[in-house]
Amino acid sequence: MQVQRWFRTLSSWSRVLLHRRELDQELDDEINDHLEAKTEENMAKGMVPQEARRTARIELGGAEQVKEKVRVARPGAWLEMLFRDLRFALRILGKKPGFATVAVLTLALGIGANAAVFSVLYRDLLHPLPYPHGNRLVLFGTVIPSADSRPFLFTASYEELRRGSTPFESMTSWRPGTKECDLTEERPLRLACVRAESTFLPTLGIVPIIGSNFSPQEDGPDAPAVCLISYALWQSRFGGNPSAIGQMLSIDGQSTGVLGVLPANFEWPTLEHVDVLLPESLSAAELTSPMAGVVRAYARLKPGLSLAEGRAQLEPTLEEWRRVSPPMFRKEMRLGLLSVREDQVGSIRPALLVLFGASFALLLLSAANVANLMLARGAVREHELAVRAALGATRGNLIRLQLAESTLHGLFGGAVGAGIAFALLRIFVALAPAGVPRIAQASLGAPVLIFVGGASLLSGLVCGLIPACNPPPVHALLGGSSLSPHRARLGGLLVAGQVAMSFVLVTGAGLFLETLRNIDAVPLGMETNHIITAEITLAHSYSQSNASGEIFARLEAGLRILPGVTAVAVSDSLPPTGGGRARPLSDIRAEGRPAFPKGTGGLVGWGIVTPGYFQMLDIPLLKGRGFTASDQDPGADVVILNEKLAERLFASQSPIGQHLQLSVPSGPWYIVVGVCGDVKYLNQSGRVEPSDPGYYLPRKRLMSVGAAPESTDRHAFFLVRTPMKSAAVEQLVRGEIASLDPTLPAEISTLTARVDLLRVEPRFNAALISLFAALGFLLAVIGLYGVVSFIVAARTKEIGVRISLGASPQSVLGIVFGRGVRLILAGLAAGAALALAVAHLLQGLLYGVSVGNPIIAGAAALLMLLAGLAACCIPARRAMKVDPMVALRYQ
Amino acid sequence: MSKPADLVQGTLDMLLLKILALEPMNGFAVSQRLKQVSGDVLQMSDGSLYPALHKLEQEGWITAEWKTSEKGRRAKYYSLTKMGRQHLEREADNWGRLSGAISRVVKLKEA
Repeated sequence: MQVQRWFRTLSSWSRVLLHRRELDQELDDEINDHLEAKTEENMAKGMVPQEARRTARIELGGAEQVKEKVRVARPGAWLEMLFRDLRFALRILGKKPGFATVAVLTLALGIGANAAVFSVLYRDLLHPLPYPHGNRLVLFGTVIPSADSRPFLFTASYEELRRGSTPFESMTSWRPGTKECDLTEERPLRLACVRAESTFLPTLGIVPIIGSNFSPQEDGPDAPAVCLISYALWQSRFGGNPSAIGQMLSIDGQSTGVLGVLPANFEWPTLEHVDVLLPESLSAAELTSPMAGVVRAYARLKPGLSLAEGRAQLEPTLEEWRRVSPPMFRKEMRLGLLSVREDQVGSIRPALLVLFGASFALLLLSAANVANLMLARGAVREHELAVRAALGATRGNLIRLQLAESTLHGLFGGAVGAGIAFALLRIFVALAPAGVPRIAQASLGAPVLIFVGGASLLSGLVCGLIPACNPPPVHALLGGSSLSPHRARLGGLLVAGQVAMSFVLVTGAGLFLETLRNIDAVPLGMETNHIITAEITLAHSYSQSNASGEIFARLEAGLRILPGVTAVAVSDSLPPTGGGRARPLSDIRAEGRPAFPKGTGGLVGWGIVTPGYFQMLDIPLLKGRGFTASDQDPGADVVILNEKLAERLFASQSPIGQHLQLSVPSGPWYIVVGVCGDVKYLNQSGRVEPSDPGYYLPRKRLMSVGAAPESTDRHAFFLVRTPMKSAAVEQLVRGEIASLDPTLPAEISTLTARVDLLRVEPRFNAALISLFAALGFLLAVIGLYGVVSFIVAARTKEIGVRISLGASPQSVLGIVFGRGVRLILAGLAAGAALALAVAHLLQGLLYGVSVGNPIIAGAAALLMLLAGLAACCIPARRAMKVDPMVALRYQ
Repeated sequence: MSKPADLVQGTLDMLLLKILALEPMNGFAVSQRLKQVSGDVLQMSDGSLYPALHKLEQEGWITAEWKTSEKGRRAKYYSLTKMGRQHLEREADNWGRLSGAISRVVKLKEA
């Protein structure tokens, strides 16, 4: 029954759409038959033929009206009407190509900007994670802000938890951080290795595409040497051959069997690049003794459990963790439980949302401009519309007609906008290589295109609806355009809204530019110009005895005699990001002073540097002396403190000559020989971290700082000062390194560029907001110009009368500017309110400037006002030149 | 004069169906017949007749056929379908119950 009905509707639709002509012919015939029959009847009653026909028509009530009624009642008729309206709108567009081009391009600008930002936002915030039910995956553990802002767990606590009850369906862990490892075969290759538990892939819901996952036996201390390799490594090393399974790879000198291959689209949950997955192989000590090791723990929440519920269930465990953790961390320790997505993009989300808001404001501005254009043109078309209304078009017909036109504008705008978005996206990628995760993967896929379609339809409808709801007055039939004050009011409202929006954008841009300036101006406490850095991590083959010390010494000597190099320094760490090591303050004791109680004072950073380091970076030596060559001999236990640590340890007393024990209770004693200035460290977004107290030890000749972990022995920064062009010297440095070991990968760049890398994100934000603000500002000014021009045109007659009655040019100017200024001021007031409403979203993204900065807001307001007045000048000139004679005859 | 608009919603459909149940006829004949049988009480403007007929056709209650009339014109003849007949029976039943009830109420003797 129901199916039959659908079938009938469908066939009737197809008849209506495909055989319209035939249907209309049949309808004509039917009505004709009726009229003929009626006429015959009337004639039979004795009427003359003419009279008979007339009466028949009157009784029918207008053949065309009846036909129209039948046509409208057909199913699918609306579709036909839609086509008709669109056809008509296309014709109108074709008639005024200039107007259509301006409208389409304006909308395209807004839609394009919006779509480009949306594609980035979608990829990061909305696109499903590449794991089944990825929204249930969480990262959890303890958060100790002074040590690590992301949750981690001590291995013993993790083992403990695994035996208890949790809100998790499954949980897993890995050793934090990817490690550089070497494929030591005939073609050496530097790879990124991670160590993870056998439950890692199953918890994520990932299955190797060939081969198998680790087994639980491989988590323990005596794990066999096996690994899983990434799809890319499988392709490059084994040509994608399935026989790779079971083959041996020599990783860091150890023969390791390939157990399986990860899927091509596999993504490590921290977004780090991973080539090789090794068993976690926790040692027996790590499994049992507290604090022997740390892991990052991931888990899959039980189905239906929210993050908050999971957190509540885990809360009692925190007490347990707190009990077994070092006393110094207990107070600040809290529970960390966040979704994997939050961990990946939580820090970038506010910036993305603000950028999206800014681009959306731009879209609104462009839609308002097009609405204003249509409003002004509506005045010109009033006559045409009034004629249509007089001929029987209903109000609905007229609105539909105008909506069809504006919707077409929107759709064309969307098509062009997609092109603009494509170009903008390329620019984004160029601007922010590292600032925004996954930006390179953002694309104009189906979701973005759907968004574009929705945005263009909506903006088309909105900018058509505003003018269309303004019915043509009857007197429009009398000819001429009425230029009704109602339209001018509506236009004024739109422009005030535009001014408000672009005020917010311009203020925002000002704040972001100021932030960028502040970040650029941060005094780092060191000199970054004319310095080239080379970061080197030696391959595993250098781990025997003194091999690493030897090659570093040869490199240092080689760099020293390069042409154009005036100084060379070597260190194990490099500000502002290459942070060195740190130890608790309570590990340090000054001779003759009480020891710090355990667990107080936070962390102290330290580095190992050559004597030239301080001079190279222009770090001032405030007291005492720097390191000398003799300090590099074994046995010379000297230390230089930074100002902050010196003050912490010795207050106002001079620390020079004092003795320090750097690892209580059994470490050797060091003599303080100098105090140097503090150097600032920056975080990922270029903001300054509170500078830590710290100290420096001299880098030993043919180094062997026994206490230093093995991996740092193989890692060093080489700093080279040169007055020459950096690119040339970079080449020389590269050549020098290659001459010692051609397979040695080195990261070479200027120190300025290293520091600059931290400013990518603030620069990205500032560039985008400024771009949107500039465009929005332009649109608002154009909109203001349009509306004021319209008002002048509408009041030409009135102005003519005033002038002929003796009004001075000043008073005419007053009319025009008065109107303009009122619009701008109203807009600015609304803008200020809007700015207050969105202010809290911005604060976290700013640095060194507050959201309510009166100077920036004032400057933005002044800029809007001045530009607005400038936009009024042209219509004002026109108003002053009104010739009363012409004006009074006109209209 | 009572117009179809005054009729209870849906009764116009029923009237048209009933008339077409007698024999297939064209639009003009339907309007003539409606006037005849109702003694000119039920008159419907010719303008609303055709939209109504087309609606019944879409519902599938009546079907149309093109024939040449005795005067040699192409004319569209409507006839009742099986579904239309069922619908008519249902509607007629409803109408009988409703009108009976209404007339009983209207004829109540006032005390």
